[in-house]
Amino acid sequence: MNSWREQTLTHWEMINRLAGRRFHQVELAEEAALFVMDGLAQDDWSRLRAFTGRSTLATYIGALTLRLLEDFARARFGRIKPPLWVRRLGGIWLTLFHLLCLERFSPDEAIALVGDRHPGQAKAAEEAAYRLLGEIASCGEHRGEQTELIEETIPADPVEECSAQEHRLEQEERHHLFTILGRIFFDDAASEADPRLLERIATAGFSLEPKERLLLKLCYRDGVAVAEAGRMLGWNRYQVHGRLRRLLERLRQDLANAGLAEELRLLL
Amino acid sequence: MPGWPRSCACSYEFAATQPQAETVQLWRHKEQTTKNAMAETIELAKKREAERRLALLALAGEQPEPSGSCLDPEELAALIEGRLAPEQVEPCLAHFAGCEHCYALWLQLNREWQEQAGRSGRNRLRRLISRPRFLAAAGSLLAAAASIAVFLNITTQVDRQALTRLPKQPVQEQVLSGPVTESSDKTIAKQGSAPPPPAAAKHPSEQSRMKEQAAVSAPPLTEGSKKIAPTRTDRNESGALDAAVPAQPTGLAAKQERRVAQIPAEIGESVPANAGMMAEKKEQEATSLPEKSAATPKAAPQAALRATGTPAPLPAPVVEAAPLTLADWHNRIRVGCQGQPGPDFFATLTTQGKQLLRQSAALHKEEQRQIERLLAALGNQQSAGQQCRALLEILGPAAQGPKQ
Repeated sequence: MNSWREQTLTHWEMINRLAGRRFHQVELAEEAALFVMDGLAQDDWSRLRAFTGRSTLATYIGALTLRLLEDFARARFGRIKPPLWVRRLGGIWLTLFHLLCLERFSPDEAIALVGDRHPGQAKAAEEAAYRLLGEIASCGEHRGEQTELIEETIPADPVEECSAQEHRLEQEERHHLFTILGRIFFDDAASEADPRLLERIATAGFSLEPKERLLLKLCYRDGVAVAEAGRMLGWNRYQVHGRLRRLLERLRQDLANAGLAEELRLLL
Repeated sequence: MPGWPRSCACSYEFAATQPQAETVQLWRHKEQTTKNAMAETIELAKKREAERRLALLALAGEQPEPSGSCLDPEELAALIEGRLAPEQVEPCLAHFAGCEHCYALWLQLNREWQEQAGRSGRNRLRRLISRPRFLAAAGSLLAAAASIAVFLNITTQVDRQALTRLPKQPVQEQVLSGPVTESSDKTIAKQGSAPPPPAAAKHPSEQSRMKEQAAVSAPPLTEGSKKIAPTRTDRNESGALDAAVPAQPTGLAAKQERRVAQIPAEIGESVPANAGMMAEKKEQEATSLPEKSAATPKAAPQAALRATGTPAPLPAPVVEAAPLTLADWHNRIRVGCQGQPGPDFFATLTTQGKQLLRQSAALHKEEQRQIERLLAALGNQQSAGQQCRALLEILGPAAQGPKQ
């Protein structure tokens, strides 16, 4: 037991650093770090005793710490289900939504936190934060509550045997999604960006493999360098650049096949 | 310029506008280049933005359901560290494509791991080494180091070859400056004011010939070898008398030179006191193989005889292991009898004569008889001088001078 404690304490700096990165406020970060230590020591260090040596202990403790920090945030601030468009956008949008609407950080704090978590995304985070605050009027109203309000009001993902009302709600939600996407993506040509057209484009029959989806997410949503994204996905820098180029070409070809080449040219 | 004369104003304008036009042209060219670069940058930025929008639209279109259950922390850690097998990685990535929560954890943990790897010196070194630029530089350095090593190796070999030839001069120096044996004193006295031995006179040319051979067989000398080469050349050019005052070699080469010079002294005075080329070759053999020279003491005196025409002091009598020829035996008798041989000398001659008789199959009858007569003379209890006289008589008139 003592050995697990000692080994965990050797990684105390990392735990503190991760907590500080997750919660910018010092008191909150310290509280979160102690929560992590308690979580690790729980049940006679059962989480650490489950370690089988498939990775290094440091990385394993890092993974445990990140999960426990999320647990701490949920315990502290409650749970909330983001709107569909935020979920679809994901990445910094989702993070900012949690920071602004659930944990009620000020926009500046939230932007700084996102800048810490996603280096190089500070400017995009600033735009996204104010866009979120503009789109979600009730952002931050339900702090610290175990609320199911938004989760209930927003329909779940389409189910095969859903009722007509649910289907209508879903359609409305999708329409809302593409309206907001139009505003976000085509800010300069918002008047021309018809949500239905965007929906047609978005559902033009793209068939993305999981790795392709991850590549697009990493490179175009989360600002990860292409070579680093390739390394994460198991490709070298030449492979990943080639794959990305071919993937984008294929997406354009899919749109052209769907008869949307002209719209694509005007929009993009 | 209302007050100026017209011609003045014109010339002023012309003088002022000529360089200005060039400057303006240059400035316009620069402006155009800048504009082109900016347009290219803007075009590239637009293209990237269009790609980003396309990608985000494609991502927004469909959100797949997460496949399988969320990863356990150890699996996630192993994935980050690249310790999972490829068939285990694919399901994990497929799950990330649908599960934003796990995807976010994956991103955060990957970043933390990268930072940790960057902090540890070994990983930093590994990353530094794995950079193509570093690899190129390291490869160039290694190639250069290998070239230097090869070059130094070659030049060191040249130095060694040169050093092994060095003892010929120190031997001469030592013999000339060191104690001289009684017989060699006699030889010098016999020669009197005779001209210097032809071999010694031939020595510089022989030396230069050897140098040329070495130059042909070896690459150009380095600085280190050049340090030795002039010293040697000076000695050769100055001749044998100059060699009595040896130059002071420095460093490792000097040590080796001294060591090589000591070896003949260790062998003893059996080394002849001449410096002819042929004799030098024999001396080199004697230097490199002292045991061999001790076993065959005839080689050195013969070389000395050939080189200078003067007999060298006799080595201590040693029972030879090598087969003895009749001519050698005769030579020994003649050479030995020119000095003041002791009883050991005659005993050795008796042993050698008996040995030759035992090999009588290779001898003519006359030769056998001559040997028997010589043995008989050796068996007489007389003084050394009388015995020598008797022996030389048996050998015949040719025995008065050294037989070639």
